[in-house]
Amino acid sequence: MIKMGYLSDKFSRTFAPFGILKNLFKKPMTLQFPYESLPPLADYRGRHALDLEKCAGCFICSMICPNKAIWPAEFNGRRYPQVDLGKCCWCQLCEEYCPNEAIKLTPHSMMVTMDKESAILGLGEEGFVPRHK
Amino acid sequence: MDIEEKEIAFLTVPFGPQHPASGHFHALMKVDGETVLELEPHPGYLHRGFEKLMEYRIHPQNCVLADRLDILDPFPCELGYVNAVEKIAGLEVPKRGRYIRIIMTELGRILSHITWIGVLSMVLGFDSANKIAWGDREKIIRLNEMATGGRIYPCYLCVGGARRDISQEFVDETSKALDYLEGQLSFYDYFVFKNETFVMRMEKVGRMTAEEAIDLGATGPNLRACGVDYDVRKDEPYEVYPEVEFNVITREEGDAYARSLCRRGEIAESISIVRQLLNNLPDGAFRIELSPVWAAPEGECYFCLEAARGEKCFHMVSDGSPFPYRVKVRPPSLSHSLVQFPYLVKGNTIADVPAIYWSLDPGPADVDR
Amino acid sequence: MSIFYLIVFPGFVSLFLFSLLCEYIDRKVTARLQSRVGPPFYQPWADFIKLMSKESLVPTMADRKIFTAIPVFGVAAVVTAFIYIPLWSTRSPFPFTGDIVVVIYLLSLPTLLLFLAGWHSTNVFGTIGATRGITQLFGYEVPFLLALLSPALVTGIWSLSGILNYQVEHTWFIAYLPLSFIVAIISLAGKLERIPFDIPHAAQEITGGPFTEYSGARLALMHLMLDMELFAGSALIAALFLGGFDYIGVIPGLAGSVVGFVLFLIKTLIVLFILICIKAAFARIKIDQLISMSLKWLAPMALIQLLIAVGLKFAGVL
Repeated sequence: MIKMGYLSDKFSRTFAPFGILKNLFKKPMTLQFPYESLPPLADYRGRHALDLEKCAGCFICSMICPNKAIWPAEFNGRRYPQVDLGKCCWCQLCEEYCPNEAIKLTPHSMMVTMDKESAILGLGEEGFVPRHK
Repeated sequence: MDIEEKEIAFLTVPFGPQHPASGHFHALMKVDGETVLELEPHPGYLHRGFEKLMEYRIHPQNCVLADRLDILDPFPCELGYVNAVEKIAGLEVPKRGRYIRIIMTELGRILSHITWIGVLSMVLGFDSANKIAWGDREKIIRLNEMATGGRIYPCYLCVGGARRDISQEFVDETSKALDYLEGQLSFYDYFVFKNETFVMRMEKVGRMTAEEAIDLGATGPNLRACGVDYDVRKDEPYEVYPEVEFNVITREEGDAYARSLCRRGEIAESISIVRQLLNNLPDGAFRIELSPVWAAPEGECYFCLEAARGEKCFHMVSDGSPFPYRVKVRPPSLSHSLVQFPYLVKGNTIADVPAIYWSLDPGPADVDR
Repeated sequence: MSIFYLIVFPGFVSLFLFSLLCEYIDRKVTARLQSRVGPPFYQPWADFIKLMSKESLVPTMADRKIFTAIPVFGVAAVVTAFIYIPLWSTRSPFPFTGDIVVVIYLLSLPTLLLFLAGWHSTNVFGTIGATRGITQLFGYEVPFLLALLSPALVTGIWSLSGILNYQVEHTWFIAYLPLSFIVAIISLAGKLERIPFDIPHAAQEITGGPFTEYSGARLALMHLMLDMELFAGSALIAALFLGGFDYIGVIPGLAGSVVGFVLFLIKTLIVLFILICIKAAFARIKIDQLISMSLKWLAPMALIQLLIAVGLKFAGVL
């Protein structure tokens, strides 16, 4: 009796995995990346954006950044924060502790560059202006 | 020293750091034919010096850093740090904050176990289960993105609660994802855990008795598979675990197959815990607002919790300043890969080495910190 | 005309194209079974061109000439085996009595060449992979020979064209010898070193096995040898058990050849599909378990089938 139970166990264990054949009739779960992609959600921590009106130049963001990726830069006669995306760890502490809600993280996440210098976000009329592609 | 050496010709085979099977962990095997005579582990490829780095950063920055202590299972690392600080200061986190924390931690446990199924299958040559498990991870990673804004590194907890609240959309999506995962668990049952070749590779391999397991410092599913009923969530409960009902999965045999079944059972238990917590989610505040340079008073705390890999403990010493004086982490994988792995591998064949290694579920980032 | 047969039609060029088609179908169907999309149809061709264009390195202590000769010999052996398999009629371009034995012998050369390749790599992983390959040869070669030679043993005809004639007149051998068909497919999976039997080049334990030190054009030829062996092995099983080109008897003329060839291709793809399903459903087993499984289950199954068939023949039923 034990022998029969052992053999029938082995038998079912050998043939049950062929149930994977039902995957042939389902849609694949992967997306072909450059042509279709999963859009990031609204709260995703991506590239920074700065509101020049609201920024008070207090540099709390620079002090709280764990990787020291933010430091002051001159623009239009005032000092604003400038972010080095190569050092940033996307933790959102700068947004959390900014008293005027000036620096925010947008969901934009596709950032590519071959040049370390262009990873530093430049400053322009609308706030941060990316110099990478 | 007079050592008499027998004339065995052996090969030295590296189980190298550049290897699809070992994570970033290096071990040298002495092999005679197909039998492994001895294995010498060389950890340290992932040492980043977190404990020293944490002494120079304030608490919000350290919560971000604590994520990276174990990348496959980041929530218990943050939870441990934050709870240790709160215990020194005597802070009482609001109820909703505690519920949110444990919901995300249990979802992280499910993610870690599904990743473990994928990697174990890849290592056993079981390509299909690897690809399918990686697809199932996507459901939980999407939930992470919804709640925390990041897919793998959540940076979610802070001293006093959680940084963001969860929305009603998150609650609905989580219920759908949990239903899907329960269906997938029954698929994994007949495809992976009752697959004849999987059973042939894992049964009776790497056997530990209960005394050996306790001596070697095993915790988590490795210990529970040997018959010892020890789970930090039941024996020294923390956060909201006294209010949820779940079983502790133990098995008797202590071999690699028993460890696998323990982890599979834990996925089912975690799904039920998250369902209970979502049903009873209270309203209210989820965070105590603290200034970034808030300092805990002088004191010391040793806080233990149950990560996916085993028992993770944080020893925190505070000296009244915003920087912690000393943070020491007890990683569960240290004894898995440095102590149990060489012990269990002796006498087995080369083909058993990856099976034993991944059935112990070490996280190489966890070993080195 | 023989030059045409040798080089173009059932010879090198067409086997090259069919083996690339086979690899594409293998990867695409495996991917769909794993709910992925899979590569586009030109992927194996692109891989071949990419590998041919890369630099090919030889380890310092290894013998350059043998290192280069091994893939070339492998491809030559498989192409030579393939031209004796009848593709579109009962006769292959060069039929003779005993060609079934020659085909099976030539198809076992790639394993021996993999052993040599691993040994000459002077690399620890190559040595372990090579010894595993030879051990695996002991395991599946016996059931493979018993299963594939069972049509010849039962009917007493030792040439492929004779066996195909027999199948055209009576029914296909799968009706008389079903167990041999199953044993032949499983042993073919072992010979081709596919999951669940890809122990010699188990990438996750011994990073590559015999293939570790190969790169560039030599690796391209090694992969080509494995793909060609896949197609040739499936074609051999289709010819022996599923009746080759036959569905409605022999049709004379060019139209008959084309129809026969298309049917043959369909049957080869059926055998390939069974191999792919086995690959997608199982993990890799250990070498000692492989030897014990094949000597405990596969070889006895083939023997029992032979005894039943011979018994039925003597009883006058067959």
